[in-house]
Amino acid sequence: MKSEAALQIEKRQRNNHDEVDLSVEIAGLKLQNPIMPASGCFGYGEEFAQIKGFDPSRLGAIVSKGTTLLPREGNPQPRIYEHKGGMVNWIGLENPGIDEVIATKIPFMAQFGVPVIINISGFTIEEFAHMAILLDPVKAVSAIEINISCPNVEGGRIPFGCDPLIAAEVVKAVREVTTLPLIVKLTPNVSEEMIGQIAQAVEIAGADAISMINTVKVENVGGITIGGLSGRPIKQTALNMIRIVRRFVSVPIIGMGGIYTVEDVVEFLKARCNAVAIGTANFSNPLVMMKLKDGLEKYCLENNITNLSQFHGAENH
Amino acid sequence: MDDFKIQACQARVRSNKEDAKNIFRLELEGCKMGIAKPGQFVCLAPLDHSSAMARPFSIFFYDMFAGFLVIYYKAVGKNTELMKSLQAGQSIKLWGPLGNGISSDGIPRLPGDLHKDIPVPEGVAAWLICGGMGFASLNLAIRELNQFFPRSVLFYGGKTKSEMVSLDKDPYRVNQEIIVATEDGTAGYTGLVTDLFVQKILENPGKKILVITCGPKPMMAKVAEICEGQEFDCYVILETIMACGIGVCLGCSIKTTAGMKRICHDGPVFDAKEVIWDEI
Repeated sequence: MKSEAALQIEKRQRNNHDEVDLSVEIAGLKLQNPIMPASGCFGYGEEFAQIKGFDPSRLGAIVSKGTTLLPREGNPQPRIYEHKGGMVNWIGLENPGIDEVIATKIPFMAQFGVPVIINISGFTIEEFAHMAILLDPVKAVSAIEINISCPNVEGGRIPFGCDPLIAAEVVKAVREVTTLPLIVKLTPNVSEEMIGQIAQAVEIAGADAISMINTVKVENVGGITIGGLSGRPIKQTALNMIRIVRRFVSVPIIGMGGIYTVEDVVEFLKARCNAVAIGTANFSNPLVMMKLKDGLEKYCLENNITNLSQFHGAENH
Repeated sequence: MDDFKIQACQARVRSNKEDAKNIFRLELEGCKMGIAKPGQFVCLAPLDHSSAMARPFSIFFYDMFAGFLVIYYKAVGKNTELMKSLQAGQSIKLWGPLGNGISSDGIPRLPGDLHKDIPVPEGVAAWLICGGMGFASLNLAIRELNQFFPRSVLFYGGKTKSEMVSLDKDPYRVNQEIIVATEDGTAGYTGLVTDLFVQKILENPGKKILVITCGPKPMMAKVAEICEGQEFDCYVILETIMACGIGVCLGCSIKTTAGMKRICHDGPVFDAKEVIWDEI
């Protein structure tokens, strides 16, 4: 007769055998699964935590809304418009500023026991570094996501992320002031030739991971002069650019852009993304991230995938 | 229920029919969402699979114990056109209740926002003023307020009679005086509901009135302006397109005299004094 302890071990082994290991490692962070919200589509988690059936502790990570050094009111109305099966937004980085984020938002985000990623947006290189200095000693922060899609006010308002040298300067400036893992979020509003160079430049400058893509620039849609398109219509652009960037860098990639279904998640993983972020899909189904986490687990079980790295290289180039 | 304020449900259609020209009444079952306050709304998942944004609808009537919900919609675009074809028994995904509504806990109080309760003094009459589809947002308020303001009045304005629903025949209505205004004179007062409002103020000199309004923006702005002149407390229920409906996307954020506010989360009920009409 087996002892109680031996039975327990056997049971655990059996369970482990049935379970899929969805965990991934990004920028030195261990995520329990590859599903996380895209910055700006999740606030700080406070609202989603109010929805029955949504459990933030089941996410791979929590990602904050874009934070700036000073509070910002954002843009006047209209700010959103449904377009081409996706949506255009022109929010203008409305946020309470880094001090308030550190004081009240990060403590909330930290309670779920999953990595907390803070997205920062600067209008000068100094602003990026300043925010990183403030975030560096905050224990609850697991990583910084650097949004280099915002306009560089000292550089003719051309986004930092549109020039490899300037993008690298931002990352270098942040790298110098913090030991926190750095995720650099790339804008797709550059040529296919350029995106690989920018990715390579930020990797050399110290990026531990790359997240892509940010929204795709559109002009004069629904009363919005310049906005960012997100959702289904940008999925192919995202995948194309990720495949290019994959050839240039070896750091992990968090893929995003029009992910709605488990099949979409698998497509991004096969394109050698290490994790995925869900943005616009949260709006038409607030439980979609829970559904994708469960669905991915089921997909792996049915397809004999025990580790997500098995997806890599499964795509025919 | 439990600690979660928002419930996602798979609702079943009980009935779906045209109640006035191009205005449809959708009755749904299986929506156990706990307590819903007047002014709160639900979001429906878009029926068109190429749509990205949630579809917000006012709660017209809601029985929390039965999980029975009634909403009204006007067929104006792809999704509302698809909604017209919903048949009894079909299911639709929705979540709610959303937003910050008017609360009543046995004391006649109206919350201006989440943190501020405004007591309503005795002897004040409640006038609810709606135009167009705004009636759908005020029905719960009528029911809630009726116990404190037995002689409250609903002003219901529309372009023409055929585009207005018969609120007096609604099975879930409470005994409530309804005064109708139509722009073309096909029913009730001929003219704008705001003109009728002014006329009734003049007929009741010195009367203290609490106003709640919902409808097209120019109408609400006018009602707010009249109330300010008369020193009436006025609450507006704002409506707009939303992407998420829960307060995360900031697509419906507006500048108010009390700072940036999300219509979906901080509202949709606002103290009229806070609203800067040019910012909407």
